[in-house]
Amino acid sequence: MASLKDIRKRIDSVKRTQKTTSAMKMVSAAKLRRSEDNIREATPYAIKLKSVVSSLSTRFDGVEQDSGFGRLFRNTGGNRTGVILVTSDRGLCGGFNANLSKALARQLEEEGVECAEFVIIGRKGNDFYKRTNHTILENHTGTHPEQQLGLVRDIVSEFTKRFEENELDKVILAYNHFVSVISQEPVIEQLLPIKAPEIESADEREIIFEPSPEDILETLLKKYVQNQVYVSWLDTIAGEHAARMTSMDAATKNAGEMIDKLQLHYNRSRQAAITSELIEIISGAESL
Amino acid sequence: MSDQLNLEVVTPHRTVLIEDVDSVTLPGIEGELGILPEHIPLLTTLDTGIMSYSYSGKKQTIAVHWGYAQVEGNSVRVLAELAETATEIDLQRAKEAETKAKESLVSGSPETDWKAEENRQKKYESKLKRSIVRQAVAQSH
Repeated sequence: MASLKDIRKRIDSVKRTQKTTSAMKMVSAAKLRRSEDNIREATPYAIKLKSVVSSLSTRFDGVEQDSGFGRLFRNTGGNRTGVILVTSDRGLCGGFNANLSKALARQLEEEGVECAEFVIIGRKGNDFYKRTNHTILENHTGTHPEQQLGLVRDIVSEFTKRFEENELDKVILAYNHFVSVISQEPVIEQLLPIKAPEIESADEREIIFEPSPEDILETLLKKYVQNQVYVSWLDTIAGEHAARMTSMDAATKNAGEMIDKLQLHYNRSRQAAITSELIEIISGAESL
Repeated sequence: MSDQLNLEVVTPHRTVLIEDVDSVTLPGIEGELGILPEHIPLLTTLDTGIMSYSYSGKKQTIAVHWGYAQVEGNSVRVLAELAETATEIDLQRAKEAETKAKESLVSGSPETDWKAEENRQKKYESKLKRSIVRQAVAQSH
């Protein structure tokens, strides 16, 4: 049986851990608020970009798939896959990263993709996939918020170029969607070939394009793909903080319960020690 | 109101402006575009340049750096990579950027590869243009 001193030490240690987890929870709560703001700020652009693309989607039907922007729609049915995986840099956020990585691995297996090419944002995704057969082209960690957009642009244009040159058959994006503070869900989307958004309003009025529709659409669609990745990244960041907040909250609670149990145990053992000492003294006195 | 345009300027980072205005001038890639109410639908790429809008006799300017503008009905949506209003621009920094870009163009060490050199020049040219546009907007304030 553990001595009284051991139990006391254990209680102190758990208390210290509890302090850490509750501090982490508060930090995450503050960061979550900021990242939610970021999402809110970025949403109008994403929505408008999408609506511009969808207002033009009548032009996508039956487009030539071997030139210009049509190449972005080319569906070869092949299996050479590029993956953009967005995870977090740090752990201690429950199953946040592991769930996504596993869901993605499952999907790749179902599709029969043995060796996909990965660009991974965040250290955690890298930790998971470096043990697999897949190739990791790049891993970006500790990216400063101001560099995000530029980095996304580089990653996407590299993949788009290779897709257009027929080195890849599809490009998918995997990230955690921030549903609410208590719920984040892994999302796996196809980026290329582009799936045109639903047609909102088939506006048949003549639209003036400057420069030509082909030129606009090519850059516009690429921008659309970039924006999807960027928004998903913001989504993941918010999700990360939310997940960490929930799991640190649970950890703090668990630590509290543990402290209670240990304290009870400590009190009991102390009492037992006192009682046995008393018995010894009394029986000693009686024998005299 | 049908005699006004609803102008929205958004960037990937934030919403810069939502305003009802009388007219808008956009830096289109093929030249400046003036938009008045009841304009026909238009979709254009925007160059780095000065965008201006006026309402009740006042004229305001915004520096935009590459993007799209969509005109539909009486709404003008500007999706810019970067958009800054006059008050947000650091004039000093823009000036410094201009000198730096000029220096790199004139006396910077050229790349050995022809294509890389072209890219390098393009990069500094756009930097130069950006800084000039910024200054123009900041000074118009």
